[in-house]
Amino acid sequence: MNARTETSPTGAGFSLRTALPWLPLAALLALAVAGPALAPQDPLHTAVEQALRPPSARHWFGTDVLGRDLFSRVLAATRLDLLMAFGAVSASATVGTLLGAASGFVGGRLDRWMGRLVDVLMAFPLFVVALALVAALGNSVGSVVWATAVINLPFYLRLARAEVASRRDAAWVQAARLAGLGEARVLLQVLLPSLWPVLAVQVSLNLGWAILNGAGLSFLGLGVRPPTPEWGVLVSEGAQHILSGQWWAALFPGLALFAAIFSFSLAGDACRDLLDPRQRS
Amino acid sequence: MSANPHPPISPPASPLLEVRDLSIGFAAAQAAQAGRPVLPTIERLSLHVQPGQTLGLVGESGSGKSLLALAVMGLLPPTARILGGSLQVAGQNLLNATPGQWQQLRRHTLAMVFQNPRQALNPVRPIGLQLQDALQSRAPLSRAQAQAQALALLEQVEIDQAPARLKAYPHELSGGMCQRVLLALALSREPRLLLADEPTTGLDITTQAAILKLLTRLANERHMATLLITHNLTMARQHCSHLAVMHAGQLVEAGPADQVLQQPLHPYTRGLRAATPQRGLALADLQAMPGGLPDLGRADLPACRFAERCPQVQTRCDTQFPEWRPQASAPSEALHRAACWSLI
Amino acid sequence: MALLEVQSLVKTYPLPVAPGQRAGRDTAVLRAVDGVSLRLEAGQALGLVGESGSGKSTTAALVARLADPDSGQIRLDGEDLVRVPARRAARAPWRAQVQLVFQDAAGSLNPRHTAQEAIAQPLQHLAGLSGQALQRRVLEAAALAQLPEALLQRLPHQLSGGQAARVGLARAIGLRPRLLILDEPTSALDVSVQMGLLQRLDSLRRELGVSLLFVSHDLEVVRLLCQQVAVMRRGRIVENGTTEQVMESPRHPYTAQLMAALGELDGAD
Repeated sequence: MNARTETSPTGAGFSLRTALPWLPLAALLALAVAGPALAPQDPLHTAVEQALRPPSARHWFGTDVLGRDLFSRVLAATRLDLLMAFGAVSASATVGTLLGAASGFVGGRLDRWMGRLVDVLMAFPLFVVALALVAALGNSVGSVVWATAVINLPFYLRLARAEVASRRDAAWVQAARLAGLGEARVLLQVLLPSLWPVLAVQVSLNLGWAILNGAGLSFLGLGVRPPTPEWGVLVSEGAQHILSGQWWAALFPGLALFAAIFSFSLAGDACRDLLDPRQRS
Repeated sequence: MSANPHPPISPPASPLLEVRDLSIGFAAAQAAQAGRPVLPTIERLSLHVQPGQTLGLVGESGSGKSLLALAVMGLLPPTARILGGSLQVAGQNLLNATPGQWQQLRRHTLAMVFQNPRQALNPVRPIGLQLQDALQSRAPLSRAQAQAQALALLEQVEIDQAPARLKAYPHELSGGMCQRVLLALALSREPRLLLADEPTTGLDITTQAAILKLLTRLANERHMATLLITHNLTMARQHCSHLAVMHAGQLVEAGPADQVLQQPLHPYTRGLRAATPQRGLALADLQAMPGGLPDLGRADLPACRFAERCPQVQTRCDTQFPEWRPQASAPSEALHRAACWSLI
Repeated sequence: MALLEVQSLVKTYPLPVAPGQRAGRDTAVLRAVDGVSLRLEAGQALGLVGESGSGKSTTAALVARLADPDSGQIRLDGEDLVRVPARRAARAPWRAQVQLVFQDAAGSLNPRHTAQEAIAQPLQHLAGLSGQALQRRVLEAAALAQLPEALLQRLPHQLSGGQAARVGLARAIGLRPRLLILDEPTSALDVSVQMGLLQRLDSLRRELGVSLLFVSHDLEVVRLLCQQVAVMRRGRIVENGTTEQVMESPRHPYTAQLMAALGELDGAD
């Protein structure tokens, strides 16, 4: 049966409903860009006499153990966390996808060995690998980004390899060869673009993990160190005070983490729908 | 006079399958369409199948033939809605049957064979066990009994080396063998009505012929009625005593097979015939019909959905679905009839 | 000299090795194409008939140079096609002259490309066309395949089976190839759509002089379109001749079997 076909300039049909899943991510990005400028108070300004005050009109999220405004710190951390996540994921997605796609395309012995390499990488508990890498590279934002990129590489390698290998000899790919596209172009112009929908989902999931990874490392005292505001650092600082009743110190940074990961998932789903040619009518 | 494999049963007893003015549509996908009435995919369809008879349901892909079969089996997708009419099997009204009644029907009265045989079988279970599952679902049988009956069924459908095949998985069998297994599964119901939805699609020519011969033999031996859905007129002629021709969800012609094919009344049937290869006709002697099935989602669909492709279209074809000629209040399948304004 | 000359084409595939054995020189092989020879004259249509497993689709893929034969020759107008391996065939000088129409039309279209883009692809890469000239040739190809212009902006999932088949045909003939290989292009189509496509193919053959290698399991369809028929079974050609010869007086019992499976619309059988 033919579905009703409607042509629309943007293909997916622009409406509030299709824009909705993107709003949380857009808000997050806006906060990251504006970031520290929006903070009502200096995130690093200590005022010990104001330590651990509950949320109030002056301090929306309360204050931390050194009297710093928690709201400002959470806000300021947005930029750093998003930068780390996007940096790590774009590095591992690019390298992993290209390598995996090439491997799946070429096949043969190279591909078999690549498969074994991926299996070895994935046999390690990845967080432990990240720990080891950061410990070796030293505590800095850069080392967190590298470590996160490395441990996420296998996912893209495997994904790209499997997808490309399964489509390498599909009829529509053979048709491209008949149309005069050499092997390199078949891989780059035909097969790689077909990976977009799957990649979009993987990237959105990955962004969430990457943030959690960075936050986890900071929580353990590696990577980003206080006083730099970063959600993991904030959770770490606040976690010590939960039992004594100062619930706000850990809750708000935790909520920020949650909000970020949720908005990535929403956007990832919406992105996949956008990139799927079948959704266009 | 005719070389039909089964002459019409007479006198016509009460029909095994009786479809009367049945309309089926799909629920609106978008809220925006909620205001408009649901356009029927199948519109006011009436046909009968007598016990032991083979009725061919003929028409292009997308004309609603499979949908009708699913309705008879109670397997309509959740978005489908019965918009009107009645559907009866062996006198039992199916439209308000309970799930328990459906289960009884599908265990003892109705069976269906599908287009893609390999996909209709469980890929991770040997076919012998799938047959035993089917047998044991309708009667308490010991494992030995079920195994023996499964073997007997495989031999009935002419699978060679049957004992070895019992342990085979669907992917180890050819398409033709998978279809035979599906037939065996259907036969395990000892059905009174078998629905076959394009059972030979994708099979080799020699296999197609063998499967259809098998179907005919089994139907004869068991006095089993068959509804054979196909878009292939030649196949319909060879294996059916009666035909019903559907276009875009509307029944346009029905009657005994050789009458419908040799003296087609409806322009659509004539068009199908003119496009079907025959011995003695060259490529230039055949004719394709212009256009294709109309988009059923349109708001401006003509009353007779063939109007836009019809060489004999009139103005009233747009506004009113034609009356049947010859008229009959309760038409029997022995009557060759068509719905076309050009006949009036 | 015939347009297409195929001699003693052989293609084997190694059969899976049983666990515990190692693949070696004595490993069993599947002889998918076992010494196939064909001749196709310019402007003619040759039907390659056989059931599944006969090797006809593999033969078509070899002649289209999508795969390499183990041995044998394929010549187009005397030019050796086997010299260029399949992985470099895309850039061979004869690529535009030998084109293929696939069995699963919708599956042979890039799901992300509109019909327009699919038809344009060979014109861009093999003829270097762009802009206005490209647009014009796309419209010409669509007209040759009788594909309505309105469908050019549609994506494959928005096309019916018959429409997708026409897009595949338009794409293949855009460059006016001398040899068009068709791998069961009509087996999934309704009778009327099939007839329209066959008549179009016949017109193209007569008007443009395109030679057709038509692979099918349907003898009836082959009879309508082709002047020559070759029957394949288990990788070998068992019968070869004009359509009348093969269908009126088949010499091989397998051919007779295929003929017997054909039905008749009228009359007794």
